[in-house]
Amino acid sequence: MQAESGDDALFMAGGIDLVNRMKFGELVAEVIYLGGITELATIAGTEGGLRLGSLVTHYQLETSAAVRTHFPELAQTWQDVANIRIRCKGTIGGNIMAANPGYDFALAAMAANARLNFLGKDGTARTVPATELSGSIRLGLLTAITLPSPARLSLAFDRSLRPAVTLAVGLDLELGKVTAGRLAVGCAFAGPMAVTLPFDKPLPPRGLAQRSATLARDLAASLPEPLSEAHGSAHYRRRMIEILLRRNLVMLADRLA
Amino acid sequence: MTSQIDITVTVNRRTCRLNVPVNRILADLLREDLLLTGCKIGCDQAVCGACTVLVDGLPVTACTTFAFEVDGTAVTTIEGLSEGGALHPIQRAFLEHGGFQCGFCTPGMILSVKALLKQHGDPDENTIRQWLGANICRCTGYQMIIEAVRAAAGAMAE
Repeated sequence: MQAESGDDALFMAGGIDLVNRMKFGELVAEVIYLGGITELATIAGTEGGLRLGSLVTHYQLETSAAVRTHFPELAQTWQDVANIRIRCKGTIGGNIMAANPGYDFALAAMAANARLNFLGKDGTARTVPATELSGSIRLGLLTAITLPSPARLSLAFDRSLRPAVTLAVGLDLELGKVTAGRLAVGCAFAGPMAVTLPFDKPLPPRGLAQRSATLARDLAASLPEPLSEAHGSAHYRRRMIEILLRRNLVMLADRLA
Repeated sequence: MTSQIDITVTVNRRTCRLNVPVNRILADLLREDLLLTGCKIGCDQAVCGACTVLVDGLPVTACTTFAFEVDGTAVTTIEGLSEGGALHPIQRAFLEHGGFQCGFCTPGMILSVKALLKQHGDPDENTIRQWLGANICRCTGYQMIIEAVRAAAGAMAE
């Protein structure tokens, strides 16, 4: 359908974000409605991890037995995202593609190092890491988000300072050590932002806790200038990113120990 | 580009075949075309919950839903809750517990409660607050609403 439509045609899933943008004056020439494509609304375990269809709603995510079992922090956090009406209608794919810094699922996908599957206009399938999200909007239809195996991943979410800063942290695990990590930041920049935690070698949980203050300080200092507006100044946001990151690294280290 | 679209939707147990503009918002369809003015428009941004209706049993903000999205679904508004002139137990509980004052938020509040009690037959206060947290009432202070929900849950369990 997209190939037959004009270049300005937009995909619409839950539509809440799109309708609100139109109400605020955004001109939309054509909409390709995705409702009813049930194949894109399923959650399934695969060899590569947990595959979430792009039309999975937030409510499906929070109530899914598979998500609750494998990613309990994700299911728990999602009970507080937006409100029940938005969670019943809004989709995780739409949440990502809106690229709104205040939305949450892009952060989860980035922190988890999820893979995003796209279907291009010409029918070509393409997979990109969620951490490279900024350019994804032109890759076609987002069809699925695959979270890596929970055995090799630990996640934490912190929405306590929303709408000034939200944050998600993902740590990759191997043989009881943390081999890599990612920080995803929402609300503080023009779009969701992901950065890699600078580990020079695998760290045991205790080592991660010991280095958490330095890691958080250096990483926060290395970020671009955060937004300064009514919800917080750039200085405040940078400082809160450091504090929340340190707190969540310690919490994750305790969980893994 | 298509400017009108045919939809078939069951509204309050009545099947409606409609030809609507593609950009018709569900709240306007209900209020202006079907004269179901119990669907209130408050914030018009999916935040306040006044426009809540049920689509296939799930709570939805009619103010941010296109009419074409409800094609093939069953929509319930507050006008469709009572049957045979008898109030629904949730409506009766709100009445008996003073769960409303001006009444503007009440249709959305009651429909959210209906969806809540379908998922959680005996919800604790935390669950009630979580589900109704985004149904904004400027009159009651919420406590009587929570008491009404508990009473309704009890009445519906009997």
